[in-house]
Amino acid sequence: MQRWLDRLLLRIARLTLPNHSREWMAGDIEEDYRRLAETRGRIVAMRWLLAEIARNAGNAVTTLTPRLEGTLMRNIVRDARYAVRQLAASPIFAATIVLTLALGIGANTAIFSVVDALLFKPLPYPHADRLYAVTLANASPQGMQFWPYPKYAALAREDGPFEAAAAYARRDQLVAVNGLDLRVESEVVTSSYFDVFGAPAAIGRVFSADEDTTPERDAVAILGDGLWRSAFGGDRNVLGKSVTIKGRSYVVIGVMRPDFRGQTGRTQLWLPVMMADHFMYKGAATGAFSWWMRVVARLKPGVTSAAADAQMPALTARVATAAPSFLKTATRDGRELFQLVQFRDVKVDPEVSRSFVVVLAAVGFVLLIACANTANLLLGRAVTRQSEFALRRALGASPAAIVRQVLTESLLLAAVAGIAALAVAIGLLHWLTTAKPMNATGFWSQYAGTFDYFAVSLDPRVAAVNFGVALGIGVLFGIAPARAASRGALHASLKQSADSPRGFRRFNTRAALVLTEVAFSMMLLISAGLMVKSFARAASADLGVEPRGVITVSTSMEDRRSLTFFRDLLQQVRGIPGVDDAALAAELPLSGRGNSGPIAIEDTGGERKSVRANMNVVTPGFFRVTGVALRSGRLLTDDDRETAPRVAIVNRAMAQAAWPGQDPIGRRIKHDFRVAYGSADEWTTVVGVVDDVVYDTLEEPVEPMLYLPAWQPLGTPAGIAIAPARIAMRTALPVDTIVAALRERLRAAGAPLALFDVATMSERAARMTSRYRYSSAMMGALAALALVLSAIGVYGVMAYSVAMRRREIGIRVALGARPRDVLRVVLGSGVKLAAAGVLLGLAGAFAGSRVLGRMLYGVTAHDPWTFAAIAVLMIVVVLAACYVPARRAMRVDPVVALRA
Amino acid sequence: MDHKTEAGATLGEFEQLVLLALVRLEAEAYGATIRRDIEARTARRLSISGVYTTLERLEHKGMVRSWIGEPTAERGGRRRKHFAMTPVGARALKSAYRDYTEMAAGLERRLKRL
Repeated sequence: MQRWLDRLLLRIARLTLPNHSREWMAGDIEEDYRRLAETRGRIVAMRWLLAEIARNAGNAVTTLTPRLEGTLMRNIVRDARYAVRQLAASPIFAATIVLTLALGIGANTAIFSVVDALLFKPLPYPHADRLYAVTLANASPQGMQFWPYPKYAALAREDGPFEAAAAYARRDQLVAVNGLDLRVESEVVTSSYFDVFGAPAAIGRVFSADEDTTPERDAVAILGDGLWRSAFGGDRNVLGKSVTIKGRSYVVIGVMRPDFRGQTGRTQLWLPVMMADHFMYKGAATGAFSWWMRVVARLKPGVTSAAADAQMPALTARVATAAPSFLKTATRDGRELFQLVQFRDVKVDPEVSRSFVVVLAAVGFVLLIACANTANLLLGRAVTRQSEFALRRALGASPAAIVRQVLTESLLLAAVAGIAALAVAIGLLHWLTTAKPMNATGFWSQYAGTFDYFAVSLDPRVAAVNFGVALGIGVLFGIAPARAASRGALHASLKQSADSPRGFRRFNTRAALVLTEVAFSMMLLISAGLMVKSFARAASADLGVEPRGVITVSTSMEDRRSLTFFRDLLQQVRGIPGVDDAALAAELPLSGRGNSGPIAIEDTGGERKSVRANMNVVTPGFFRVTGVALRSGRLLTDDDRETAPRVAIVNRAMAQAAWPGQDPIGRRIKHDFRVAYGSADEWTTVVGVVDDVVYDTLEEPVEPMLYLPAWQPLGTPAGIAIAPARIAMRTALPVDTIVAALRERLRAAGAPLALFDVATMSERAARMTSRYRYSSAMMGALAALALVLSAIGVYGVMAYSVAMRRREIGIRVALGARPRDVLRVVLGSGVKLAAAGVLLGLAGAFAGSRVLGRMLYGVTAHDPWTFAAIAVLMIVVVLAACYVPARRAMRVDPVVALRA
Repeated sequence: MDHKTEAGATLGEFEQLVLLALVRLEAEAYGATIRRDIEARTARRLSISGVYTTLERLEHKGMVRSWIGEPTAERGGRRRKHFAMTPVGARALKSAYRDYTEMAAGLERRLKRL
């Protein structure tokens, strides 16, 4: 237990005290609490404090009473007071109901808020329903999302079904403000971007259409609110000041509103697309080779998406005439076709929405189980209180008064649960939106990496519904026991022997409730089991690398660097004390793939063909440092330099795709950049085959990969940097030490590169599986809660049934039944209950687990082992829950039982 | 019956216990000590607000006076409210005690047997 619990309880205690004397009374309570905690321990002190809270709360109600007019009000207050006292007398009962309802309702409210934001609420942009991402149709449902700028410009000039269109791209920009170097999350945008997303400037203006026309002419920038405050101190006279990018001053022309943070949700700087020729490289904006911008367009009013779709082939053809594609790599069959994707769908991974719907179903189940459990507990309690009610009837209470009393109790419980549920919902929502557990790590979803623009918050209406649900549950599950209590009537009840036929009938209702609980729990447990197994499979998946002891860092290269620069860089890194080995690469395993293109395979008698492959540029030590195993041939060496014959290493997927069933060693290829830029005369020879390595995602098969030696420069156009700008180091030292040492050495060597994206390879491996870890943890927690609730339910019913059957058991024992026989009878009825629930649950899970779909990895939705293991677990838990009441039954003394 | 006319009211049973605690505790009488004293001697469980309700009623009747003390660390930096009996309270307690002992006189053995 922690100190905060003490403080919380003391604070609650304060709330129960009258205003005018709160200070000294609270002081007295705290003084006594400390004395008790010191002399008798915190547990005793805390129990005392809880009782004190209940007593003071009771007093507060009493002192309020005279102030309230009218008998009805007085009755309600009296009922409430009585209810408080009743519930304080059985705190475990009350706490179980409040806690389970609060968790059930709270989790539902939070998850529903997320699902509502992701699926139903319009995006916070004007006419969001008419916003579409324009992509190029290919195999993936989202299509190829990146465009060269000139192609977008051609589209924007067309009079298509669009009213407005904009292009934008995310960029990590190195910016100097007042001599301070900052890496800023930026967006490169067309001037129309601000209109499409309905984002006017808070200060100054946004980019003008004129600034979209001439490359490198208008060096202007727009600041985000955060950058404005941090770098310019929120100075309102910021307009006309400047930030420095690559040695050139960019004049600040505007500041955005705080709530607009671009499409990443973190953007703090906007730069005009025409300046990309300066801050990126020449031709970035004007060349047709750089596929880097995303396009969003708003349909004209009244144009349906079907009508727009119908215009796409013609529009594609017109745009293709104006701006032909030089690299047809991304499109299917080399044919282009524009495709419209609802903007919402590119902003959030459909898999993420889907997993939230699954979680919503799961918390719905937990709420149902919690309701069943509550109904069960309330019914059981009403029955055990029969004699109390009978006594009150005998003393003149009307049936209505008793119904009112019982209802007041359940309403009180529900109200407390409703308030607690609100706290649960707020807390859970806060966690979900800050921890962002469900962010997919997929390639295209870098823009979907945040809930920000979905404005997930606790909707007051949802909160009100939440509270209403709580009260509804209170009434609904309060009425049955209330009626039972009032009908309890004057007869047999007073005699304490409640084993009437009515008792058995109620047992059946309760048994049905428990059956439902067990069945729902089974479904949750099986889902959770499948997810845990998925996580285990994903965590132990073969990544093709040895991540332990490897630290990776990216450097920022604003300019093209020479081979000598990288040689020096590698030398510096190797020289750091504690670094055992180091290598440079354009792309690191487990960090996303880089450039891809078609690879021409040399004709060997068969038909000429080309294979799509990713390309990585690595220094010879790369395979050694990352632990990628050689399968055949040789690895790269320092002799594979500029003057030597051009060589490449392929992965097994590439070998399989290009030379199925043949030895790839000695085969020759040409890669795309050479074809595109005319330096295609030279062939590159494959000298080695290495294992497949996961770069991008665990879910898709590893793609063909071509490793080219860093010391043999590519014939790439100026700026398209496939530069080995990422560093992998094998070391036993901690990350911070290494990065500090690296930074120091680079500064000393006069090459102060910005370092970012620092992570151990193990962390990168963990990110690959985080999706499964979070969903299995979430489902696991829900399923565990369901299991505990079901166990409580089973225990409650069995304990009640044993109490009801005391006489019967007594007679059996008197007639010679041994304890073992009694145990068998009681456990037998428990087993029947369990078996029915387990069978129902298995059937439900079998029918329903298909929806888990891609939330699973490496297991089928009907994995027999998981189904069997969970069934066994459930039966064991049910039997354990039956065992305690069964033991009690075994010890029934026939003499006592029969005399009662 | 002079205590009745003077104080304007008889003492309730719990009021008597509280006044007796004030007599015993003297300068050390405040909420926590009063409650502790009664709880220790009578095996009753009291709520602090209940104790104050009675003290405030006695103060209202002029039988008890109170003053605010200094804050102390063991009380989370809160001040104490001290209580002491007034002459009116002393007379009322004395007369209640006299009535009680008079009534119980000679009944000791029989009371024990009950």
